[in-house]
Amino acid sequence: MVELIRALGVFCEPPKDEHIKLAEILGFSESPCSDIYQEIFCHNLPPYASVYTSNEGIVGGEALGRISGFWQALQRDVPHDPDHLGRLLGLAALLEESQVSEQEPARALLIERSLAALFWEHLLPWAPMYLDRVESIGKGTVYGDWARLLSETLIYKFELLGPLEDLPRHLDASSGLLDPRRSGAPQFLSSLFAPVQSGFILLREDLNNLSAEIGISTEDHDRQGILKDLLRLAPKQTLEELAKVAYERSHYTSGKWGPLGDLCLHWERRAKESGELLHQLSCDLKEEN
Amino acid sequence: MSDLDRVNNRVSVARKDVEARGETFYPGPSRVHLSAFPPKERWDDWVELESTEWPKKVERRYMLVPTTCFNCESACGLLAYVDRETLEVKKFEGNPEHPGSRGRNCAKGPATLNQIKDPERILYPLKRKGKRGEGDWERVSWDEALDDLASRLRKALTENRKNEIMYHVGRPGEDGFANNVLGAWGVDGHNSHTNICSSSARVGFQLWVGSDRPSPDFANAEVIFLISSHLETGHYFNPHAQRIIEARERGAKVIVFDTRLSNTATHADHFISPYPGSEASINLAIANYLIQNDLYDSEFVCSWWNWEEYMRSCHPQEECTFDRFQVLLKDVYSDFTFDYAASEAQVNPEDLKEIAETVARAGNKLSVHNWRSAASGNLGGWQVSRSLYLLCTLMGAVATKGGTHLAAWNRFSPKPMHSPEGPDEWNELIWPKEYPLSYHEMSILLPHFLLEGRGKLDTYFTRVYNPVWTNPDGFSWIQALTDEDLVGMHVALTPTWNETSQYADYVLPMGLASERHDVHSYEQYNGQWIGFRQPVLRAARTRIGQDVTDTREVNPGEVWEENEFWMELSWRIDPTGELNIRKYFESKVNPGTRLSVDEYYSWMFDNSVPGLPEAAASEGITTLEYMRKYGAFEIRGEVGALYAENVDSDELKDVEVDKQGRVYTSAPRANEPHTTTAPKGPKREGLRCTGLLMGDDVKRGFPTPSGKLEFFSRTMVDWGWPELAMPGYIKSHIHPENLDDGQLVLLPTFRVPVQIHTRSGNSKWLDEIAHTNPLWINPLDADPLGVVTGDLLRVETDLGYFVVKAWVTESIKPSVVACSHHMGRWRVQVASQRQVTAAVNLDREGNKWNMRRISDKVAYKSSDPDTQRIWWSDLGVNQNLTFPVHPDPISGMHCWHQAVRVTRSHPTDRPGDIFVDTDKSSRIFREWLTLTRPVDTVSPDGTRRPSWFDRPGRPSDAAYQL
Ligand code: SF4
Repeated sequence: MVELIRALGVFCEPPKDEHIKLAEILGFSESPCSDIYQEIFCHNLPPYASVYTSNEGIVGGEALGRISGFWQALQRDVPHDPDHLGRLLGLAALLEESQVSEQEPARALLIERSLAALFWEHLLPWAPMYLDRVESIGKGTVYGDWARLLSETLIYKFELLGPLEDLPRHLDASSGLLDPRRSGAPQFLSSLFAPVQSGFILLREDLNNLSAEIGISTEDHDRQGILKDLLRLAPKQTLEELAKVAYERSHYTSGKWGPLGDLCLHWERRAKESGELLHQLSCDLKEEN
Repeated sequence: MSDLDRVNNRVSVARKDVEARGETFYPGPSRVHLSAFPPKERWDDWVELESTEWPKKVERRYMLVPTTCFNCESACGLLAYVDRETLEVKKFEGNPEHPGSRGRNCAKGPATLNQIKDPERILYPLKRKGKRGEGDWERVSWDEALDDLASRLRKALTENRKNEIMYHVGRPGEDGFANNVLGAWGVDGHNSHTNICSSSARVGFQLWVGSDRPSPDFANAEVIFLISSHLETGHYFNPHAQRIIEARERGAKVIVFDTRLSNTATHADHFISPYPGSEASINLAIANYLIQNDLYDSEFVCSWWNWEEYMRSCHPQEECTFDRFQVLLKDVYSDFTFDYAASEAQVNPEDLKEIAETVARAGNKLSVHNWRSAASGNLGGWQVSRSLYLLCTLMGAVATKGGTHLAAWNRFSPKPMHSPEGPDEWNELIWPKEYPLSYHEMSILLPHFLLEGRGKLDTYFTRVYNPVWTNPDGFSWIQALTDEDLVGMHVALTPTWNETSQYADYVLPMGLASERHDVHSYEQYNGQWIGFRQPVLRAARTRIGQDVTDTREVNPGEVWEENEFWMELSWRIDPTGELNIRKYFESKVNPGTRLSVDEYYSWMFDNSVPGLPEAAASEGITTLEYMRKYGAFEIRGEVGALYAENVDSDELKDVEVDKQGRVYTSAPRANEPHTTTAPKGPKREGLRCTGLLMGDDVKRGFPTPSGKLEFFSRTMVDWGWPELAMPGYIKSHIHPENLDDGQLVLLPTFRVPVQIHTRSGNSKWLDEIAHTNPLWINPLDADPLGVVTGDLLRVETDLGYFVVKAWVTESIKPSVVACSHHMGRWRVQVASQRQVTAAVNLDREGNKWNMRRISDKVAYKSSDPDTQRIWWSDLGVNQNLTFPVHPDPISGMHCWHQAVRVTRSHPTDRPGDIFVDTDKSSRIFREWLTLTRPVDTVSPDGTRRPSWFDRPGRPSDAAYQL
């Protein structure tokens, strides 16, 4: 799968001439286009692992440190963006390539274990929720096709490599959605936007849908601003709608990601727990006028 | 096959197709490459954001033009970023198309930018006014300089004073152009820096295998055995280092022997700090372990060692069988136990045993290297490389994957348009009778030969060479260079001022990496490549349709390049052709006109680089255009064990086989790049030696007299050194037995990775990192003197002393001190390279010389504001001035290590002080001469040198006769 992984890796980078030919070879329906690329990867779903695996929900933090450490453990120079999906897929392709060309069985096995660790620790912990969202917002574009093919490829590779013993450190180190009654409102809000804590990705589009559902129009803020407006104007309904979002996103085991086993269970549990907490918070509030 | 497999295959096939067309499949700077080289098809118009404009996003458009680094011997590829608007070089990065360096450089490569923009570089030809060395200069035109030189040289040639013309080169950085010029003039005047560098190591390898350098396949090795700080400063630094790192990533073991804890040593799996000069004893102890325990490749040894010759010569009474040889071999090195080697090296015998076991496990994937280091430091240092290669030959690790190859098979020498006959005179100033086996020229002795009246020079060219600073005994050089009866005219061809050019009559500015043409090829992996250095602005202008016919048109000021200079000078020496020189410099395309560099290289690329015409044709361009576009070409990816190949049957005509199995033929040599594969057997009329009869096959064999690996050297026996016929151990001149009480050993040979001799002193980035050379001294030696880091020490050598700051560190073995190369630069007249040279007073009273720095200030005002920001004032010391010459009687190598006394400085001493008595230099020169066995007393056949030993500008057979 070396070349397929590598080819998929270049699609989460700004489109260049080479992408057009590549899209054709990969059988994608459309050609890549800068505007759609911007909309998906720059405005909504940045392709950096640490955004989805760090407690802060932004690039950096301990998650980035863990990924840099992985590169170092492989005795490779750490690139300036070690958690970029393109980098990680490039690394996966490189490891697979060296595994195939390695004559010495013990070394080949070592490389295979590194590859398995890369998938288990740094790609699969966030790929399901990430790629599902890209697939849905990129539907009908080259990036929707890309997310679908990449999902299939990752699952296929995982079935060959298998899981590691323990839950990935990124997931193990996360605490779940924070209860505002104990940790305060700002922490609660920030954990809602950290997928590794909440168990789901909350995009601006989700919040716009949510406000339409409730019938409230909010100012043109960033995601945090919109959510704050909603919680101020209709807290109970907002929390209830958020709980629904969380429940909707908690069905990994029955979907295509089912073969990932424990990973899916983790996400399901995390999203369900978030749903329960949000529902509970909503119930605890008095009926709105 | 699953759908995914099918898609994967589709992508793989498409990638192969696209890349076969020379295009890039994935976007060039994509993250999936895990590197960021601009794709080559965009080199004409490459866009980058201007870093100095950040956070604004200002785009800058570049033309990327390849050339080759001119700093060290590695010749790594560079890409010059030429601004499309201003046609100015903005930066240098690595050339990913270069097979040796693969896009990577050390710090010195990109620092080329400082060198070309150095505000103090020499921009115009200069001629001295007043007395030589006084420092009064006037600008002259190139025409004036050329005409003056041409008439002088013509006179010397026509008056048959050819041996008074000499060209002395530092790092050549080119493959044979100047040699051919001298050949065209009929002059045996090529002198080089080799005997302050690698003569010793070369002899060791040459005696074994007929090729004077190893070519280790580090990338595929299991065990890498380095007698040097190779990864950081060694020969072929960056190309080798990157392959050593790759091997380590795969799990290869790295063994480092270095008295000093180098950066490389800190990365080694096994690091041993031996007493300097004991290294050969360790190699032999490892060999002994392999032999006693039958851990070597006996099949290989049986087939490829010249053991029969050894048996016949050393044990004529014994039955000449391999079984018997194996039994006798056990005796040869039986004295070299781990305990013995450990006591010589002052290390732990258990550690040596562990290393021997590691070597034994390497099988034939043992890559070894020794170049300068121990070989260049010690009397008999050539036995270090010889005993090191013994390990490869025992393990069968010769030209195997992961083994150690022959440079002669991995380095490619293109045939130039003309190959003049060798000169018919032998130059004894360069190849004196005392050193018939020297590798190569005896350049360190030149001033002594001149001063004792062995000859004189009419015209002496130094080319990017700085013997006054670099060679031992620099004051003897000044003595000779300032005597106009000994050196009639000194012409310095150099990009920058240096200590030697101060004593020139003409200083002629020559181009740097991006300002000159050269070709080169070096043995950096198991493959062959050729690289092209070019004036990048000339190439850039050609790309945009402008015609440039003289490199001066694009270089700063009137800076030129040597090739055009030599062509023009030769043209003027012989304007009518009566001296038979002109024909070598005449165009074939436009007869009657002077050859151009374009025609010269076009001919070479079209006619003597296999595969290049086809590669160029596939892109619809000429070979010259191809090399101007990519800067390098890989001729062969893998070369391998050529010695074991069968000689083609069409190369076997009128075959004769001699007693030793050497096969002679009348068929001409096959037209292929490996010209050094046949045995170097004695000449036979009308025939040439082409291979070795082994069973029913004719194998190519090794380029040695026997065609085999020479464990036993008949050459050493025949040329007067029978006791050194086999790899052995020679106790160094600084062996503890040869030291007086209280003397320590000084290691002056180590380099720092960001400097290269005195060539990089014009680079501000590098000077900021490394500008001084304190004395490494172990606390066990420092404490009794009450010395702490920063204190001043006086280091007394046999000629005088130097004063240096101490660096107290456990990184150096007790009883040994070390001081790095490169530093201690000085100037007496022209203000130049001020960032790294100290203004000094040089006083001479008779033969007593004193040097003292006259100002601590380094910062200065120039067109570059950075020169006012220089924060350092410590510039180190030119220790080499205080060293006498120590020519090894076999290799001719200057044995660098010194027996010294280290004391606290005297109250009036200042950092950088030097005192030398050159009377002592002559005495020590003569003492070392007595160690030699001159050729007229030992030559077995009335010739001056074994014919199978290479030498530059090989003279005619007649000149070889004594
Ligand atoms: S100085 Fe550095 S970049 Fe230049 S040739 Fe040498 S190793 Fe390569």
